[in-house]
Amino acid sequence: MTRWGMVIDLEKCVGCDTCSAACSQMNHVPAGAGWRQVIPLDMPKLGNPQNGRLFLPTNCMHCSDAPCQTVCPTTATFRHADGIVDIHDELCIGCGYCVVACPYLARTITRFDEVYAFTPELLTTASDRSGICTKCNFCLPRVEAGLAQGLTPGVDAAASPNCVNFCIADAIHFGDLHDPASNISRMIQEKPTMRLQEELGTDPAIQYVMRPDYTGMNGTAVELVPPRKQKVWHKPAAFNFILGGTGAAVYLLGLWLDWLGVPVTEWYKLLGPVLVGLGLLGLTLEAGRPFRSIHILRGWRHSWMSREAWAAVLFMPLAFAEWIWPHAALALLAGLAALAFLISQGFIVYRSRAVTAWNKPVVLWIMVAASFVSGAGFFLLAAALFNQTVIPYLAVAGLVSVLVQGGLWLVYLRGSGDKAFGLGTAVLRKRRSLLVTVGLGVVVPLILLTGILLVDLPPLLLGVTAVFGGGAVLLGSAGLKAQLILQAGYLRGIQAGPVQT
Amino acid sequence: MILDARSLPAKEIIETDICIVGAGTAGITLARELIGQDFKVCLLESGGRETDQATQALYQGKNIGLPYYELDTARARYYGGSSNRWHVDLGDDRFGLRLRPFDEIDFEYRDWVPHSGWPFAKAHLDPYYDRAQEICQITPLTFDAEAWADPETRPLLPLPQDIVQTIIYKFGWRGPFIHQYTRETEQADNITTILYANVLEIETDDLAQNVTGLKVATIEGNRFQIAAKLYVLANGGIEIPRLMLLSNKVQMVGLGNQHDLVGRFFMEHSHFWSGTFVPADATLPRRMALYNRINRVNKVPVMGKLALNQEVIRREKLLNQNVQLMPKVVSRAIEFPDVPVNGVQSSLVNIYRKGRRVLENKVMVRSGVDVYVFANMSEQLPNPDSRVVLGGEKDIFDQNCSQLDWQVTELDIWSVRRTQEIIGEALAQAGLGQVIVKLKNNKPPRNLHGGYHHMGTTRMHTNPKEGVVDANGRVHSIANLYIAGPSVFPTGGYANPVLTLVALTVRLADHLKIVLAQGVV
Ligand SMILES: Cc1cc2nc3c(=O)[nH]c(=O)nc-3n(C[C@H](O)[C@H](O)[C@H](O)COP(=O)(O)OP(=O)(O)OC[C@H]3O[C@@H](n4cnc5c(N)ncnc54)[C@H](O)[C@@H]3O)c2cc1C
Ligand code: SF4
Ligand code: SF4
Repeated sequence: MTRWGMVIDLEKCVGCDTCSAACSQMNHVPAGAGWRQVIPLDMPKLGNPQNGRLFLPTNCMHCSDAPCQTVCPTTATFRHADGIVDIHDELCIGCGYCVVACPYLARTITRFDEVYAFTPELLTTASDRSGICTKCNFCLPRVEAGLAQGLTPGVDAAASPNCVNFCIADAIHFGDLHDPASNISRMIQEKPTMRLQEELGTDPAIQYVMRPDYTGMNGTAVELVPPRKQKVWHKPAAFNFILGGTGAAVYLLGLWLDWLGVPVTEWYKLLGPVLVGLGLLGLTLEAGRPFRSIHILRGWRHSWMSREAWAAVLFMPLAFAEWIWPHAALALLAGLAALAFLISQGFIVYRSRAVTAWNKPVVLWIMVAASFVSGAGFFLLAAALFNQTVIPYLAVAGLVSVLVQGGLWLVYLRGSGDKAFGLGTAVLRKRRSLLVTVGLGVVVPLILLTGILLVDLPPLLLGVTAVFGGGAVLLGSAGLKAQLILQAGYLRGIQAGPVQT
Repeated sequence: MILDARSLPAKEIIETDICIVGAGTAGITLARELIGQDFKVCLLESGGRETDQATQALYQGKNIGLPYYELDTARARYYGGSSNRWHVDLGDDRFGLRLRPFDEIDFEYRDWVPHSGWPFAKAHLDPYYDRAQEICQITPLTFDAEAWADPETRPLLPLPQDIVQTIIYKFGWRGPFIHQYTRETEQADNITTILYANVLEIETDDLAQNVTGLKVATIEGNRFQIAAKLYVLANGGIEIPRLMLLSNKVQMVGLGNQHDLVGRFFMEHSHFWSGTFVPADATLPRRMALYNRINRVNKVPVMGKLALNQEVIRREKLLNQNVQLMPKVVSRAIEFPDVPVNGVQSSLVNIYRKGRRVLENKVMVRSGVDVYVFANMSEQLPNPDSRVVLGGEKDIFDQNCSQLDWQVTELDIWSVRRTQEIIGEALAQAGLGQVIVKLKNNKPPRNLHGGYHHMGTTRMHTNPKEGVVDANGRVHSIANLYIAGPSVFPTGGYANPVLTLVALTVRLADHLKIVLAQGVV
C-alpha cells in the first residue's frame, strides 16, 4: 500500500519561501493560514559546521499516528488509505482542538472577516475555508488527477505537489515511502535523514536530509523551533471549562447531599444542567462554525471533546427528567453523565499533545478537582443565602477538594517538563498568580471553612463566612482554570530527531 | 560557451572586451543584447545552475533599519539571479512577475522631492521600454487602460479621470529570463559565461580612473583575474555598492565613492494594506473583473489598479503611488455600518445587516465581495540616510557583509494618506462609494514591507556630486566601469523595477556597442 511522503533536504533549502507562495496561491489558502512555513534556524545553536544557513520548511507531516485525528471531535480530520491526513471541510466546526494537539504547528483557523485575497476566485475558496481548520493536504487533488492520467507523483510535475515543483533549490521531494524503489525511499537510504518530534511516536511522513555533525545532534534531539503561545483557545474555552465544570460538580454535590439525607433544595437539579448548557453556549463563540456543532457527536470513538459533548447532551435531559420524575436510577444516570462530563473536560486539556503544560496526567485531575472546588464554592454561596443547614457539609466538601486541588497544583508546578512547559508554568509560578490559585484558592478557604466547622457561629456570621469562603473557593478555582488555559498554553518547540545515517 | 570557474586553471588571466558581473535579470539581458557582436563578452556569475547554500550565504548581511527580509533571502545568488524567484501565479503552472513602466512624472525634477529628476524624460526611454516589453514578452505595447478593458466583461470604473485613473499592470512569464535567454547566451559564440565565479574586488589604476581588472575567486579556493576593456556591474542593488565599497585599495573610501554616495539613497517600494473602499452600489463587485483578477487579454495577463492623475500629484506635491483593490467578503456592515448601500441608510437596515453579518460569520453563507482593501504600493522619497554600508561580519572570503539601513520618512506615509483621501473624495463625488482611511499618523505602519526592489544605491545623475553614475550608466570619474540594474534609478516611482531596468539595460547595451566601436577606451 502506498504511503505518500516527502524528503526535504535541509542542506539545499535557501529559505526563499517560493514554495509557500506556490502553495498559498495554487491551493487557495486563506490569508494568514499558510500551510507551509519556512523557519530560519538558529545556526550558532546548531554549531554551524558549514558555510551556510539552514531553513526548516515545514508543512503537515501526515503522521500515521496523528494526534490531530484522535482529538478531532467531528471526524472531520481523517486519514486516506494512502496516508494523507485530510479534512472534510463540511464536517469541521473549527473547535481548534487539533491545533493544540498537532505538535508540528501545521494547523490554523482563520476567521471569516479576516479573509481577503488577490482575486475573488481565491476569495471564494478561501472564505469557504474560513472558520474551519485548514492545513496541507499534499496537494491531494493534483496527485489524484496525475495518478488518473497514469503519471507518477514525485516524478511527473503534473502529479506532484506545488511546493515540490516550484522549489528553487530542488529541496523538496515527494513519493511513496512504502515503495523501496521510489525516489524518496532511495534518498532516505542514501542520505542522513531525521524526522521531527521523533520521540512523540507520531510516525511523520516527512524525512529531513540533515548532516549529523551539528552540535547536539549526536543521537539526541535538538530544538529547532522554539515554543509559541497557542492562539486558538481563548476566553470562551476557559469559560466553558469553568462554567460547565461548576455545573456538573454542583449537581454531583447535590446528589451527594441528597444521599446523605441532608435536606437540600431541588434547585441544584436545574442549576447544574443550566450551567453546563451555558458553558457550551459560550463555546460557540469560539468555534468557527457553531451552527454545525451537531457533528461534534461523531467523534466519540477517539475524541474526549466529543465524549464531553455526549456527556453533556445526556446529562442535561437526564437531570431535567429526574427533576420532574425523581427516581434513584435516573439520578444515578445523570450523576454518571455529570461525572463523565467532568472527566472528559479533564481529558480534553490533558490530551492536547502539543501543549506540554497541559499534556500531563496531573492536569486531568487538577481539572476535575477544580470543578469540585468551584461546585462547592457555588453551592456554599447559594446555601449561605437560602439554606444554611447544608453549609457544614459543603464546608467539608470544599475543604477536601480545595486540599486536593491545592496539593495537585503544587505537585504540578514543581513538576518538570520541556521548554514550553517551563514557559507556561513560569507564569503560573509568579507571585500574582499564586495569590489567586493558592492564596485565594487554598489559604483563605482553609481558614474560613475550618472556621465554619470548628467555631459555632451565629447564623448571620455563618452566612457571611460561607459567602466569603464560597466566593474565595469559586474565584480561586476559576482563576486557576483560566490561567491554565489562557496563560500556560505554549505549543511545544519542534525538535529534530536523531539523524539516521 | 559556459564554463565552471572551479575547473579553470588557477591564476589565469582571462581577457575579454566586456565583462559583466552577475547573470541576473540585468546581466542576462545585457549579455543577450550583445550576442553576435564582433567583440567578446564574459559573464561572471557567482552561483551555479542551481542555488546552493554556500553561495547564497555570501548574501548574508544585517538589517539595522526598518524590518526587512533577511538579506540572504531577499535575492537569489545563482544563474538567473532574482528572476528565479518571480512567483505570481499566472495559471497553467506558470509563475511570473508584475511589469509596468515608470510614469512621466517619475523622471521629472519635482521641487517637493529633493534629489528627484532623471537625466532624461520618459519619452527618451520609451523606445527602450518598447524593446523591454518585447523581451518580457508582453506585447502589444500599449499600457492604455481603454485598450485592455472591455465594456462587457471587464469594464473600466467610471472614475473622474482628472483625479483618479485606472492604470494597467501586465504580467510576464519568468521562463524567458531563466530558461530561454540563458540558453541563448550560452550558445552565443562571443559570450563566455563562467559559473561559480565570485568577483571579490574591482582593481584600478593608481588614480582610480580606469578599471584594470577584476579579482575573482571560487568558494573552493580557485582564484583568477579578468581583464576587459569595459566592465559592467550587474550584481544587484545591494551587492553592487558592497563590491564598490570593498574595492578600496586605491580609492580608500570605496570605488566611485568620492562624494559619499555609493550605497546611499536605498529605495524600496513601501507595500502595505490599509484603507478600505466601500462601494455604494452592492452590484459593483460584479463589474470589477479588471481590477480583481489577472485577466488574459490577447494572451497577456493584465490587471487594473488605481493611481492619481499626475496633475493632482503635482498640485498636491505627493509621491507617486498606486493602490490595488483587494476584495474582502464580509465585515462591511460590521465595520462600516454607516456607509449607505444602494442609497439606503437606516439604522434598522443596519441592525438587520449587522445581525446578518454576524450570523454569516458563523454560518458562512457566502455572499459576494463587499468591500475592497487597499494594497498600497508607493514611491519612496530618495533619502541619503536610507543606505547600504559595510557591516562588521565577514563572509568566507573574509569580506565585510552588507548592512542595510532601510528608512522610510514621514513624508512617504503622509503621501499615502493624502492620496487615499483624494481617491476617497473622488470616488465619493463620482457616487462610487466611500473610502475609509485607516492611517492615523505618518509613522510607518507595522505591516509595511518591501517588494525585493533594491533601488537607488548607485544613483544616476549628470552631476557627480549628486549621482554615482552618469546618464549612460558609467561611474563618474571612471572611464570603463558601468552599472546595470535598479541601483541606478535616481527615484523609484511606484512601478516594480524590472521593466525599467530592462529598458535601461538595453539602452546601455546600445551605448556599449558604440563605445567599443569607437574604441574610445
Ligand atoms: C521574490 C521576488 C519577486 C519579485 N517580483 C518582481 C515583480 O513582480 N516585478 C518586478 O519588476 N520585480 C520583481 N522583483 C525584483 C526583481 O527581481 C529585481 O529587481 C531584479 O531581478 C534585479 O535584477 P538584477 O540583475 O539587478 O539583480 P539579480 O537578478 O539579483 O542578479 C544579480 C546577479 O549577480 C550575481 N552576483 C552577485 N554578486 C556577485 C559577485 N560578487 N560576483 C559575481 N556574481 C554576483 C548573483 O548571483 C545574481 O545572479 C522580485 C524580486 C524577488 C526576489
Ligand atoms: S502534522 Fe499535525 S496536522 Fe499533520 S497529521 Fe500530524 S498532527 Fe495532524
Ligand atoms: S522553495 Fe525550496 S529553497 Fe525556497 S524555501 Fe521552499 S524549500 Fe526552501
